[in-house]
Amino acid sequence: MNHQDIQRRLSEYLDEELSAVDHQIVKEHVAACGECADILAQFQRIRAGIQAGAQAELPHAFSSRALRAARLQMEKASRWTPVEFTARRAVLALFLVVLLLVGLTSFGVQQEGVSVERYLSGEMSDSAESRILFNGADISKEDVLLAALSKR
Amino acid sequence: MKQSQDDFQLVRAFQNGDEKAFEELIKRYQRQVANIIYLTLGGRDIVEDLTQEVFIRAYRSLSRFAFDASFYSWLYRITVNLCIDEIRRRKLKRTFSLDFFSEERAAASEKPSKKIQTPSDALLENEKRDVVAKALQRLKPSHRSVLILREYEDLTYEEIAQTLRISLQAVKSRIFRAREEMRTLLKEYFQERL
Repeated sequence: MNHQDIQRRLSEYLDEELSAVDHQIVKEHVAACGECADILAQFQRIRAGIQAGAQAELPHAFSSRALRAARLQMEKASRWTPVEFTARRAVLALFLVVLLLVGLTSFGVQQEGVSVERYLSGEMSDSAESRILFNGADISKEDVLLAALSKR
Repeated sequence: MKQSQDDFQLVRAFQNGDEKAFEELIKRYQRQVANIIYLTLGGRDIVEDLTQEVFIRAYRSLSRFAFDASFYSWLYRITVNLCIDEIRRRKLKRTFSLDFFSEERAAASEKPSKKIQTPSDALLENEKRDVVAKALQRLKPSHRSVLILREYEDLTYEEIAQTLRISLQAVKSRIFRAREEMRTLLKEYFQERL
C-alpha cells in the first residue's frame, strides 16, 4: 500500500474495520507520516465534537408521556378505520352508479349525423346562397342580384 | 451496549399485550433517539416532538416486527427516516421562506450545556460543539446520518448497513466522504486550534 492507499483507509483504520494485516500496515505508516497522522487527528477531533454535541434533553416523564401519546393515536386510528372503510366503499359505489347511468344514457340516445350540406341549408334556408349551392347551375339573374343585395 | 436478546423479550411481551414493556423500550432508547435527531437536525425545540413521533411510529408497527434484525437498528431506521422526512419538509419550507437560515442558526445556538466546569472550559467546549454541529448540518443527509450512527452510536459498518439497508461498501464510502467533507469544512477551525 502506498501513501494514497493508506490515506483512503484512514477512516476504516479509525473505526477498526480493517483486517489485522492492513491495520498493522496503516498503523506503522501513520507512526512515520506526519500528514496521515494529522488527518487521523482531525478525524478524531470530529468524532469528539460530534459526541460532545449529543446534548439532547428530554423531560423526566417522557417515556410515560410518549406511551400515552402512542396509545391515543392508535385509539384514534382504530376509531376512524371502520368509518373510513365505509366511506370509501360508499364513494366507490356512487362512482359506479354514476358511471352506469352515463353509459346507459349515451347508449340510449343516438344523435343524428349532421352533414355539411344540411347544416348549411339549415342556416341559410331559402336564401340565394342555398339555392346556388344546392340547385347547381339552375339560377336566374334575379338570384344573383338577390345574393349580391343580401351581402350588403 | 447492545441488548438485543433482552430487547426481543420486551418486544415479545409488548406483542402479547404488555404495554409496560414498550415503556421500558422507550426508556432504554429515548436518549439515543433524541440525540440522533438533535445531531441530524440541530435545534432543541423539535427534538422532543420528533422523538415522541419515532416512538409512536414504533408502537404502531411493532406488532409486525419480524425479529430478523436487532430492535435498535429497526428503531434507528425509523429515526433516520423521520429525520430525512423533516429535512425534506424544511427544504420545502425554505423555498417559501427566506428566513430559513436565520431560524436554523438561532435554533442551533440556543441553550448552553448544563455540564459546565469552569467558564473558559465551557466556552471552549461550547465553541467546539457548535462549530462541529454547524459543519455536520452542511453534509448531505445521507452522509450525515451514516456519520452520526458511526460516531455517536458507535455502530459497526455492518450494523449501519443493516440499519439503513444499504451495502457495506456504501457505508464505507459515505463515512469516508463525510469525514473528508467535515475536514474541509473545519479546515480553518483546525488550523486555529492545532
